[in-house]
Amino acid sequence: MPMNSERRGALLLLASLGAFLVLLFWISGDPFTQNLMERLKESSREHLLGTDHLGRDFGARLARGGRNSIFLSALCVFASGMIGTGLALLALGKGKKTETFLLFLTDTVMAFPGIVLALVLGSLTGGGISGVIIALVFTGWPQYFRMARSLLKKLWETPFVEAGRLAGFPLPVLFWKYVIPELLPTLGTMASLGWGKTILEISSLGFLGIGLAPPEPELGAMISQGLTYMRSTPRLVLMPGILISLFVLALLLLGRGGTHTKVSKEMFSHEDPSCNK
Amino acid sequence: MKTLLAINDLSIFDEAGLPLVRDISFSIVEGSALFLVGETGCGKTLISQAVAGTLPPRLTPRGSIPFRGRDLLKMPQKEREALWGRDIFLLPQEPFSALNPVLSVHRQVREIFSRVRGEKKSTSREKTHRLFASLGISREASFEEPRKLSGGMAQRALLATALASPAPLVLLDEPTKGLDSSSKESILLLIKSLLENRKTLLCITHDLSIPLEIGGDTGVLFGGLLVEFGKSRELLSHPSSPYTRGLLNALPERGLHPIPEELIQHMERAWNL
Repeated sequence: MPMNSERRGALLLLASLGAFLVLLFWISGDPFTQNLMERLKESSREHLLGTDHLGRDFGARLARGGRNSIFLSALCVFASGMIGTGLALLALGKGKKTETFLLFLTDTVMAFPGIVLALVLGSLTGGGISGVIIALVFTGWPQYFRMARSLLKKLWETPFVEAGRLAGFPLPVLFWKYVIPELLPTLGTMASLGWGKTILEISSLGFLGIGLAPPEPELGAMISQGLTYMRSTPRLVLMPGILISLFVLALLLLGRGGTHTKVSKEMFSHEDPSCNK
Repeated sequence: MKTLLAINDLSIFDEAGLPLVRDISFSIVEGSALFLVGETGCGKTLISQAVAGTLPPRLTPRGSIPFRGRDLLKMPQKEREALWGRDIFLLPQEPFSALNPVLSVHRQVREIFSRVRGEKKSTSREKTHRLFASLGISREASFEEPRKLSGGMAQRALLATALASPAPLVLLDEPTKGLDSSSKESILLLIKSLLENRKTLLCITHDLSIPLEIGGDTGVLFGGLLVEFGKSRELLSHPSSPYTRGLLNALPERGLHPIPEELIQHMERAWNL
């Protein structure tokens, strides 16, 4: 990925957040052991960030919850990106009929509100995380499909891809060696923005009680559980909230940095200097 | 001497039914070069597009283009695309926009050996090394991405793709367009090396010095008509048509005389263009 100051800052922020979580994971105890005698305790030698309302180590829960939120959202974004890009390549390779059908499909899927679908699927699967993932991937792939398709249409006519086609390369070679490397900067930027958004979505659903089954911690669910004790122990709400905000900020900056680079500027501009024949 | 490609009574019409190319016929013998010369807009690029199968869909060709016993114009588009790189190779004009920017030129040529010719990895690597060596590109340079090469080297790397390709027919579209005279010299050498490798060439150009240097056959086009056709050197040293004479007088070494306006008007009237 091309670098600039915005991106460097974002990566620094991400790295320090990651280091913070790993460190927290390391020095804290078990996130599941309850000790009702020790509930809502302040920071101590034993529990660095104190305990929650069930007397569990809050630091350990924060670390595990952060990890869960990040990995789950990464999984959703990765799956959506793969499906979207794969279908865009399929549309290009198979021709007009497949393309029309897929466009119809994306339009239909894009009409679904993601969170509502996640609520329905989540309740149908008993509030489990699989329903959330399915719903987020199902509503997430069309935007990658649309972006990849419009980039592909343009790339397909550029002189070097055309030269590759005329040189007789089979489709897989054209895809892997010619087209996909050109798609990555733009789609990577999009995925980074989407990742931040998905963390928020998973946390919102977790707040509503849909997602990972307790006692498995998740940042959104931690906030909703902590709300009851907001007055006496504000850190139960503030710390997961700040963690989510910082992660989303870092990912947004990472993605935003991408839209300033030369490559993506060329991809997004309507006049491609290499196209004038 | 076997004919590789023939063009019989080829006409190309635009969507309004107006002919852009009119009843052109010629044939190319295997291993020889044929040049189509003429001013911009005379239809020479359309003819090469009709051969390659890249004619814009709004244009309709008529006539026949037999290639290895089959009429290209009667083939479905899918089959024509299957010829690309295996039977017909289109050598692009500009190396920096036509070479893949993210792969080393060595890799790009090697992929032609391994993916188009279907040879083993080790043999394709070996053949690529030899090909680059014969073109005077060092091993280190061949492992660079195109943007790190000089213009001349990139041009030769592009030629390497044509030499690696199994296609016997190579189409060249304006190979010397926008080049200075020293780069033009190296292009002439590259065209010669293509012929030495027994490729058949169909070359579109408005630069008459190329056919004069290389030989082969030359067709002079004007307004979509084949004005004159014959052996390059004879035709260009003793042109019978006043238009060919006009083109020759427009060469820089003969004083850059513009083609007389009256001649063009006269020809347009005579052929009803």
